[in-house]
Amino acid sequence: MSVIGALRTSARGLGAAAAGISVTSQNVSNVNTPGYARRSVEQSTMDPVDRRGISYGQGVSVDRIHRASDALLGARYVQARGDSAYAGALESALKVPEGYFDESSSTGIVEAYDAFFDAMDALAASPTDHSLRQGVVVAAQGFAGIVSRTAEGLDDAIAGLDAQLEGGLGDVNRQLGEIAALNDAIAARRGEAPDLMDQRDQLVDEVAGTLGALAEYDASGQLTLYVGGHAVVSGGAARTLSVADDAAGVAQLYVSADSGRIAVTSEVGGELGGVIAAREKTQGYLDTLDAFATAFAGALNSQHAAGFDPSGAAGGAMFSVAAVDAAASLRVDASLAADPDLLALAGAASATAGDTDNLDALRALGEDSSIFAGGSGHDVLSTLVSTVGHDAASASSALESADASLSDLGTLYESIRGVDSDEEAIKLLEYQSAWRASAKVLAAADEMIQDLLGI
Amino acid sequence: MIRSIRSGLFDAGATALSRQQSALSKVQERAMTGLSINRPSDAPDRLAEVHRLRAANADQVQWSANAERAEGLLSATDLALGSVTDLLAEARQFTVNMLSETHSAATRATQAQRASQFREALIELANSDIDGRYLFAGSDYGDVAFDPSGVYQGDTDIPSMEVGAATSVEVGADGSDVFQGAVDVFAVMDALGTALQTNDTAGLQAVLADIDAAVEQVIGHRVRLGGHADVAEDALEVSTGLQEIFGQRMDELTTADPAATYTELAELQGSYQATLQVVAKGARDSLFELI
Repeated sequence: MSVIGALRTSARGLGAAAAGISVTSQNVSNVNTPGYARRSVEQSTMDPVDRRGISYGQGVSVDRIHRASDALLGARYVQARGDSAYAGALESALKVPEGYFDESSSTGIVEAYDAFFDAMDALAASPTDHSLRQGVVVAAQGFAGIVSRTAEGLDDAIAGLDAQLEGGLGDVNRQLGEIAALNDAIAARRGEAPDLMDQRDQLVDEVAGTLGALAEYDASGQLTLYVGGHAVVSGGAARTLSVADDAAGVAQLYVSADSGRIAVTSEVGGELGGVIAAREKTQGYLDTLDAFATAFAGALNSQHAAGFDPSGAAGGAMFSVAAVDAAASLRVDASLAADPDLLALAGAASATAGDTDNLDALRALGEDSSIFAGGSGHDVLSTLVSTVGHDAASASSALESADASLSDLGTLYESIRGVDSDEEAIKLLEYQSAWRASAKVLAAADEMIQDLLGI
Repeated sequence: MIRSIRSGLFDAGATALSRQQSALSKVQERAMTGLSINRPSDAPDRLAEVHRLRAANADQVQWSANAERAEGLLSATDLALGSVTDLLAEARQFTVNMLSETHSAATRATQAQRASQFREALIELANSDIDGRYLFAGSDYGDVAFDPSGVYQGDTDIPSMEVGAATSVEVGADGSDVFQGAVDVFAVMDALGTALQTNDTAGLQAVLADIDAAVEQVIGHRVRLGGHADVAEDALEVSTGLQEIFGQRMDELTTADPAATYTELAELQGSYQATLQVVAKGARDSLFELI
């Protein structure tokens, strides 16, 4: 091997060390960049040269810049990301309806219901007492007010969730298009495009957070992205997602297909999936309340009409309720609210002052389990409040579980692809030392050449 | 072996701090409100029991109030009947006096007005009321029980009040039964006046017997009312006891234990501070600082 050859070998060593320092510099500067996967230099010994039966090494060659990744773990992380976003959105959204069921004091909807029947119980002891009649009307107004406010609150919550769903797609279609374009670009570089893969992974992470997604990587580094079991990105092609109202005026989520569009509302995960699940649950609470209000007002009105007020007149309506949005419309009948003496407590027109036959029948409705599906009115409302509480508590537990799972997978995933500044500092020292060593060899070789030239 | 990276320390720290903050805010809320249930999700299963207890307690409160009111009405009714008994005793003594042979026919005739006074006083007692509720008018207690001529205006239904589950007490009286049952006390007073006017000593003797029967009649009703008053008193005692039991159970279910809450708060604050220090220390110790 010649001295000139040693110069070349040293130069290659300097180049490899410089490449290492360059990659370390790239890693350190991207230590906090979302989606960045650490790089490393893959180098190997160059093929030796045989001269006169002796094999001379040619130094080092930089083969490629490796991007740390794990396709399987990456796919699991994407799924966990969607699960966490789903649980987070659901937990957050269910706090709103729960807020309308204030059960910390005695002002909850169940207490208001009981208070109404308690007021009638009090009136039974002294049915001619005007203040007790007034008390029944006030308690009825209090209960109707709570039912109405709760229903309006739930309705607002649903409207808010609909708006979130309608605006929630946001940049998803753009992101899907970019993922497809990046797929093409990565394919064009035969999978050797670490920066583009970083960008793609970051976009997949964002889409997974919004919609939940399943990512599949093939051997060539191409990504197929599924949402609700439907491929929304495949190679360089992306589908379009859209939100439109269905026949009932409820916002639904669709994905474009070759033959029209496919509804995926009940299949998506991520933040929008959580919003959709919260909307369904909130709508369920409202439906229960509407059914309750309709049955409650119907039963009370029917029984009240069977009684007679102190003047001998037959009872009118006790509550007013609309056919649509029943709970929100529940009110004490305006005439009764203005004149509690219209309470029809007696069982006969010619009854005496102490006749409470109809009042007793009205009171019995409080415990009547045949009016509502699911027990007495107290039971139905208590079950509703417990269901709201269970759903919120379950969502909270699910969020903790999903976050813990995401955190564990995140730690595992980052342990493979994340940049560790201490590790980079050590590598910097290694490459720096290698560079200095190569420089020293180079200087020695140069000195030798100078010595030869000086002879 | 899992490769540990420096940024993982910050991620784990941020996650832990977020969880601890969430737990801290819940415990702080418990400490501030003194309640273990501040929203349905805090204890959805316990909430159903709280609802049942509140409803059951409200029933007991109402039954207590009813029992107290029943006791008041029964006491007032008994007081009125006591006065009736006293008045009848006075009428009896007056009749005995009038039977004395020292009284002339003229004297007896002039004393006949006392019989009318007794009658008016008895009607007044029969129209006793509390806040416009006439005690002897049956369930038609919104108006006087008897008109000035002694004709009954009420009805024969006796009103009652619920003082417990399937327990009621009668809280009034059928005036026609009390004053005009087997013996019509007003008619007895009329007979007394007539006997005095006509100097009919045999008639006075008959009046004496009627007054005794009237007293027995009134005493019979007082005994009946006393029985109802005992039921009301017992019901009040039971209701009060149950309210105490329900109240204790509701406290157990809804009140946050101060000692446990503050201990938990101190523990969480300690671990929160420790996590902050670990993250802060980790941030300082970087290899880049040393090269």
